[in-house]
Amino acid sequence: MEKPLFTDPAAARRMTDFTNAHNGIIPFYNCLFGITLVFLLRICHTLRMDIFEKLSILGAAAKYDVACTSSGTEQNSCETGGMGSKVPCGICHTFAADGRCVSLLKVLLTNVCVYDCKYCFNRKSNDIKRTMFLPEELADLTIQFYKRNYIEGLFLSSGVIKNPDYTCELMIKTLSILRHTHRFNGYIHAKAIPGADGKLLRQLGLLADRMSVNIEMPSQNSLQLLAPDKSKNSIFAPMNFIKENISENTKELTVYKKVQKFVPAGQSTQMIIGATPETDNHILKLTENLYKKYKLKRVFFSAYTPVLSDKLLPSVDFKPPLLREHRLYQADWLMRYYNFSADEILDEKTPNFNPFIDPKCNWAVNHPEFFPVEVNKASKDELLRVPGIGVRSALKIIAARRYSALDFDALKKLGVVLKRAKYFIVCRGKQFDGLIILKDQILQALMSKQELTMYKDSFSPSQLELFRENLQTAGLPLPGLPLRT
Amino acid sequence: MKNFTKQNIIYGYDGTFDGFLCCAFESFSRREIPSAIISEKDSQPGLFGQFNIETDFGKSERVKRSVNEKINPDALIFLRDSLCTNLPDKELVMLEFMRLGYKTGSKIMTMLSDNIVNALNKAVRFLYNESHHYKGFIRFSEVDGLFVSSIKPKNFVLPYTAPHFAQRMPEEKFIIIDETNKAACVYEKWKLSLFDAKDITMPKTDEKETFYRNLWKTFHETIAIKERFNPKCQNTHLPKRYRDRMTEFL
Repeated sequence: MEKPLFTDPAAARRMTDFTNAHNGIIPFYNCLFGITLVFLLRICHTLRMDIFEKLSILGAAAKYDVACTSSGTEQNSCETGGMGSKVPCGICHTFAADGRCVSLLKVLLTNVCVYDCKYCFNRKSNDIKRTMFLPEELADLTIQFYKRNYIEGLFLSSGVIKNPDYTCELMIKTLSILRHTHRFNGYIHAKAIPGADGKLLRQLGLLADRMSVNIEMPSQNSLQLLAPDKSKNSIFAPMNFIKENISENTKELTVYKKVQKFVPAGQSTQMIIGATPETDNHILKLTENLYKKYKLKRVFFSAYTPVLSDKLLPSVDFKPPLLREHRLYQADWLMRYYNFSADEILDEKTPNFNPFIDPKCNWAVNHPEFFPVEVNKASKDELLRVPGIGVRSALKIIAARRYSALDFDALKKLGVVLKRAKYFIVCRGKQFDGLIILKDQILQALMSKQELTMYKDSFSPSQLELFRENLQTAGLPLPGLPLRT
Repeated sequence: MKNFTKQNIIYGYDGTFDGFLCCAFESFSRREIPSAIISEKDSQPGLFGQFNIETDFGKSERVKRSVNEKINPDALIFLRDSLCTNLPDKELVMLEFMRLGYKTGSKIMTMLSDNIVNALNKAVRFLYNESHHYKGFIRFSEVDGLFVSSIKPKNFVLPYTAPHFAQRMPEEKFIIIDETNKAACVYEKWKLSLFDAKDITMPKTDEKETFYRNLWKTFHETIAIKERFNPKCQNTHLPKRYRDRMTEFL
């Protein structure tokens, strides 16, 4: 269904002004400039560009941004009026065919971009259809989707149109229409545009719940190589700016009640994995630093998906390193919820993840001196180190053991994954009945079905050797447990 | 203390929490364990040996107070939630939980390794999870300024899901129809009310509604990265039973 976006002449004039201003960026219009009649006809065409087409183009352009969380802050509209609420745990509204959660309407404001980052689909030199949402149009779409419970809010990113400041202003305009005209209190994630003025970033931050600056590449060299227009400073400066503003805002909020909140859900970032040669250890150390230094809420990893061919990039048939991405997220979780440090997970000697076994199990088999753990006495931190015991089951164990000593049967009811945990725990000094500890068996038992298939399929000589090596470094048998070979 | 004896008797009640507490009152005062407790909704009239228990708020208040004092206030909430689950014979399990609770006192809430507590706890978790899922998976359609939605949950999720929407759009009017439990939740002007509802036909979608549904469908298809196609993961997070009412899958 085609729907003209503008019916009133004033709006059409605004759009004309707008396109005039961007004449240098949209080469297509460049040659037409001056021939007013043809030009106006063209403008009419742009205005009538189907909203379906816009949404497909600008949605597809934004899909490589990983963050789609709506968590970390709380609000409802009962007192303030208007529309929208925020739930601390976030809400997934649907799942895409790739299994990723869809929580926010994730779009670019425009895919016009003055930069030429090699890995990016929207780079200047790529010959693709360019378009742009008008602020009113996008705000209206968000509200309509929100009312039907399709989304939890808006994720707004953008290509750099004209210059960073101008782009930022357009984003601010969109968000302020949402917040003020529509009185929208739902979740908004806004991408900080590197290079934009501090005042504008602050305005954006007062309208958004979360902000993010993508560090894109895990090292400065890679960044220089693949994103020649961005510098390390242009990324870390806004990140630092946001951090400073958040901590200042937190202080203010403790003194005055009515201070406007600045980025209440904190900031996040993401980097592309697999396009450049950094090791997992390097990435993990960087992640840890980002959490410490910039107080980030989340660091996202995005397995590189080839969208373009370039001599500096992996070939187009390159498969996204999904397993590596998964391992990084597992390690990220260990650092955020299990009190692991990056050094414990990987080091110089083993700079990359074991593909067959997750980082927590890997740590466990490499630290036999730590086990077995007595479930009825161990502290929370100790329990969290056991494969098969998560945060929730650790807390349940601590609550339940206050009243009666726990055995393996009880642990199972509490949600402990005995398949993995049984090798590392004792209950009242007793180990799991009929437990046979063979070198190979433990490792196989720790693997998921998928990992096991992968392991069995991998019996090419070189990989087998790698695995044997891992078995040796695993330092089995576990102390205090009988070993049968 | 005189022991409870199993009796070949069926309690009938109105399906409300207060009604259940009155059943508990009867069971405790008569020191008997009924063979079944059936709510009005499922019962067949004139069933042999059925003992219908009238809901008496005086009695239910007494039970509430005693649970609060002798077991623990959380236990009362836990019982209330248990009644909304789809656990088979949940009323009997709940009675057993109460008998155990009066014996052990407040620590019952952490006795997660006990079979009864564990069974109820699992059921309640399922209820919470499903309620949370529906907060995201419900789809509203706009019909003349009213937002309409229908769901087919396994548990009775309306009391846990609907308040979320009242906070989410307090200035709108909406109705959520629960086909499983034949109930409907109506919200208008800061007031949320629950009704019995049978045989409600969903209104037809107009042009504007179809327009936004199609837009949403377009977005949903666009956002997937085809190199990462993973329907198994999608199925784990979004079980197929939800999809027949989600506009992007229609």
